[in-house]
Amino acid sequence: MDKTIVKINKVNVKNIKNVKNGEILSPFYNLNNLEQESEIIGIYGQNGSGKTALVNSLNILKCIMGNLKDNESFKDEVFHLINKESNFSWFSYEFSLRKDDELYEAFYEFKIEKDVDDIRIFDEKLSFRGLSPNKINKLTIIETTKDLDSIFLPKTRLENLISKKKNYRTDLIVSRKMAEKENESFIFRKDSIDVFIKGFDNKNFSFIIEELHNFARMNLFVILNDHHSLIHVNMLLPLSFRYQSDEKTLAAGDFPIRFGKNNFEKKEFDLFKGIINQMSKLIHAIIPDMFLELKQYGEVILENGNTGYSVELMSKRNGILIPIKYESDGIKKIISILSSLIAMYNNETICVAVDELDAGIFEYLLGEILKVIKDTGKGQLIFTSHNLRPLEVLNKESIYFTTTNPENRYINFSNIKSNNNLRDVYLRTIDLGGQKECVYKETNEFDIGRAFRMAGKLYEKQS
Amino acid sequence: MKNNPNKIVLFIVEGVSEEIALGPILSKIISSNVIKFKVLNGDITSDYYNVTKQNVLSKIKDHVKNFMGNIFRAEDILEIIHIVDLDGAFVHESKIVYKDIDSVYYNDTTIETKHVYEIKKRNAFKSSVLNILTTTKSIKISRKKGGEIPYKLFYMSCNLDHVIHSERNSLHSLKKSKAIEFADKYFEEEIKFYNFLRSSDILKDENYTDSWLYIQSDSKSLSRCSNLALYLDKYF
Repeated sequence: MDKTIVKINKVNVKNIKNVKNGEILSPFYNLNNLEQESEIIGIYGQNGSGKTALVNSLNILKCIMGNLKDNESFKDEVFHLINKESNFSWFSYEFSLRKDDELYEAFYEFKIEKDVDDIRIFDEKLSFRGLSPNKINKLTIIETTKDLDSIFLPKTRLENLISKKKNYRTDLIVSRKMAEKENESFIFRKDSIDVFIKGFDNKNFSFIIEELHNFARMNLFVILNDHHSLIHVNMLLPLSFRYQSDEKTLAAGDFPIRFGKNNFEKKEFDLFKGIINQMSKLIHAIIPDMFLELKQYGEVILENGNTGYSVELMSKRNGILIPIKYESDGIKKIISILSSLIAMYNNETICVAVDELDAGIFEYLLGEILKVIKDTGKGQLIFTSHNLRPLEVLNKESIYFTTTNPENRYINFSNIKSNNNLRDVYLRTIDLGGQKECVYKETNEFDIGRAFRMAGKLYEKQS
Repeated sequence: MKNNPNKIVLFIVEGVSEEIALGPILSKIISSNVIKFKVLNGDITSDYYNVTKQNVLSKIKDHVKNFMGNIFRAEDILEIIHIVDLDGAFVHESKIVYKDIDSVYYNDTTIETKHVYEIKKRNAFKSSVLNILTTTKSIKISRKKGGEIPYKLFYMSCNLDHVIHSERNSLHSLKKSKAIEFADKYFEEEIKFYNFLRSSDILKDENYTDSWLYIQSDSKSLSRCSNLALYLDKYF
């Protein structure tokens, strides 16, 4: 049996940062194409226009649906994301799940509110529908309200579980209360999932829950630019691999690499070495004179009793080896992005969201990398960028522009002819408008010079 | 929600000083449209090496196309406003007198230079080109609909510096700082700026054609005046 391929089809958020309402769709939305190419979504806009909010919302999805609670900054981060004028933020996501010839759509939404200096996740709702081979009408799997005593809705599902085993009721009540206390998702807490998987008669329910949970944990990578990011991606290099054995492709594996010592089994170690060799070539193309190497610390006994290898990722420049953890943040970021891009390129169920993809990457190379991903990549890439080169490389359906309208923050351009260069169209639209929303809060180029002079005069007065 | 794109008023000017001095205030006055400058870094009306009376319109077309690049279309441009320095182009030949100096020096009624022949040639060329451009109503960019852009020529006499700070022979090194000074003086003072250009010191005739006839007489093309106010009338 093949692995399940999960993709994000749609993200819709309300009241996060300066986004009152914003929605982006996968370029293949509504196509349900089984042979999809790599899906790329690029988000463009002026500074402070809500690009990062979209990446933030994917990070929140990863933390909540993946039940990743071991990061302190999550609460802090989310607290500040909630739009200042509103009490709660609303997040809604659509996914496609494909396994062999089965195709489903799943819908997950939740709200997060501020509670004094705490946050609370509420009104979670998970539903799905079947597209093929059997059509299944949209069906709510689990829905929570603020009423803790009801545990969850619809009642029939709850009763279905409780009828299996009396303990389930207690387990679910405890899980619900713990979720409330720990600012977690009730649906995607491990204790809840255990009950759902064992208890639900409808195997579609447990399939959806488990696959979405795994997707968030293992296959969704979010690389944010700020240091308060939920996951310290900087500490990890998400690496994915797939390998051939005779004529059959074996399931791909993903494992995080730490910036520090890693212990691997022999098989993992050989793979890792191969991947690093490949990545080294890419790195070398971006940072001349730099290569990646593995430093081996010899054999170690692993947790499972097997013999393994202790290795650390190093950079090598002009013959000198430096542990990656001592490299600049810029270089770490490039390595992080590249390794996740490699993973995404090779594995269709991996989704990588990168804030400021262009940061630190030479314009020409950025365009080339994106073109390769678009043409032959397999996974999903969602990025923000200021560099306009990708507009010349990607399809217009792949590009979203932020607008000056908080109620409709992200738009695709319409009326783009096939011979139009999207970059040129964007620059023209910034100056002259002409799309359904305004994409640029006007800056008068002539006022900028004066502002510089006035600031200079103030500076002279003070010093 | 805006579906119709804004339009551009394109100012063609000789140097960056014009853009620095006039850009900020014009962008406030013409706030309903977007204003852009195409700086030629030279005077197309006196460039008799590269320009002829026959090809001057096509040269202007090239500059407009160069401004448009791949980004703008001809129909994006509402009108082209070309601003030129007169540099005494219409003075009688006899007023161009020899003096052993490195640059050209403009007086109230004479032009002093050691290249008398070249300046005479330039004036003859420039005045004939100006006569073509003052009667030019549009520049044809393409044969497509909207490919013909309204065009109008206005003057600064005897040059920008003379108009904005009464100095005919501004040192090259001071041009920029004088332009900045002017821009800051009129910052958000649209009416003051308009009144300045409309004052009897600067605007010599209410009628566009007459304003061009005025500076062709005697040594008026060396005197301090400008007809740019006639363009701005529609905004006030």
